[in-house]
Amino acid sequence: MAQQVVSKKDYIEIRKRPWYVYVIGLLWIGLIGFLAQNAAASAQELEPRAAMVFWVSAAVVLLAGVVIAFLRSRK
Amino acid sequence: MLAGKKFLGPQTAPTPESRGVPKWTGTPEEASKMLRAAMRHFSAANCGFTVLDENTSKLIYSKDPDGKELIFTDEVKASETDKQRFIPKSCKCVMAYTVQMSPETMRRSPTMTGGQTTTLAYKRAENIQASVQEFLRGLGYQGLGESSTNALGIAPAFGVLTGLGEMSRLNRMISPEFGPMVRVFKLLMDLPVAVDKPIDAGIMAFCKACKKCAEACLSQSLSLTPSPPGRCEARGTTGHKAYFEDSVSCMTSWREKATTNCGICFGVCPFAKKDKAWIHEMVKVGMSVAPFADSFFRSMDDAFGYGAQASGESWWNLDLPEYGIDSSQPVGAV
Repeated sequence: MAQQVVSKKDYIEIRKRPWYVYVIGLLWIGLIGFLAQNAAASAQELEPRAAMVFWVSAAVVLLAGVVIAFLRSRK
Repeated sequence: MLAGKKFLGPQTAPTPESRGVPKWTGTPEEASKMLRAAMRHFSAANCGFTVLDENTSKLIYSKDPDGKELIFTDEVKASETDKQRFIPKSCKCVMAYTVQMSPETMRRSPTMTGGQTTTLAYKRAENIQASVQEFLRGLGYQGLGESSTNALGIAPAFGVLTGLGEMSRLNRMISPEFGPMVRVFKLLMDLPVAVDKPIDAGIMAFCKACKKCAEACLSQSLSLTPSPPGRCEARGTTGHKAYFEDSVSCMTSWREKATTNCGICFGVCPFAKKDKAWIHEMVKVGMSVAPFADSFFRSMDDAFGYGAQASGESWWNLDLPEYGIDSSQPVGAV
């Protein structure tokens, strides 16, 4: 089997994310879940305005999280 | 079940004596638990218990709406004549219970759709009262009920004493579970039960900051005072903590403006929520522990469009459960 030659200049950097990133991620997912539950339940409660406010809030939080994650990954 | 309210009940269920068996016996706690289960089965929303003493006996009327005197007696059996109703002193346990009303019809007040909401709850209560009176009779006890709508005693007061809710700016009882969307009823009985205590869920404190019902009232009949005055000058009543409404202008508005029952104050109340969205329970907790945030909660209630009145026409297109109520909603006391 041919032995792979690795250049001394090539290396893989594994950076461990700090613990609070995981906590923030969980909070983000929880908040989206909470807002989505309230949105769906408000629709069941026949409260259209409340449902719309919750859906919009969920969408904004979701989008904000995706954008922040994308920007962080580009650093 | 037999419809129509009667002080003594239908009196048709076989008694333990007629069956040749002893009357039911158990601890007061067992009796309370049994009655709570039975009342939910009979379609009451919730129930609570208290005992008549020298003070709370004042909440029993001296006369019923039909003019018959209500008299406490040392006799063991309750009875009734053409002019009087006799309440044995042994019937000192009071059960207050609530019957849910449909929020979707009430928020359409004042229309005929909204107006029948209370009527329907009263009709259901007739069956509930007759059912529990017969249930008690079958156990070997007496249940003395309302001879007609709102007879016997002051229902909201008993609702508060039994921990079913708190008084509010709309001068009705508001329960933590169903808000103002309940009617309150009461029954006297000689079955010893474990009594409940009044609650403080932050409801009356919230009313200080809210005023939504008073602002929506068609006839400006509800009080806008910041705190419950504790005294109603017009009626000369003192000693109970309540906001007072101008009943005369309210009823006049019913007849002249609305031409049907009103109920806007019930429909717009921030407590008149269904329990599906998690946010409601969180807000309730917030209200009870952080009354300084009540104004914020009221503002958010407006922003989210809660309490907005709906058109009577749109009700016909809704797909609602029986009686328009959610009977699966749990209650804290059960």
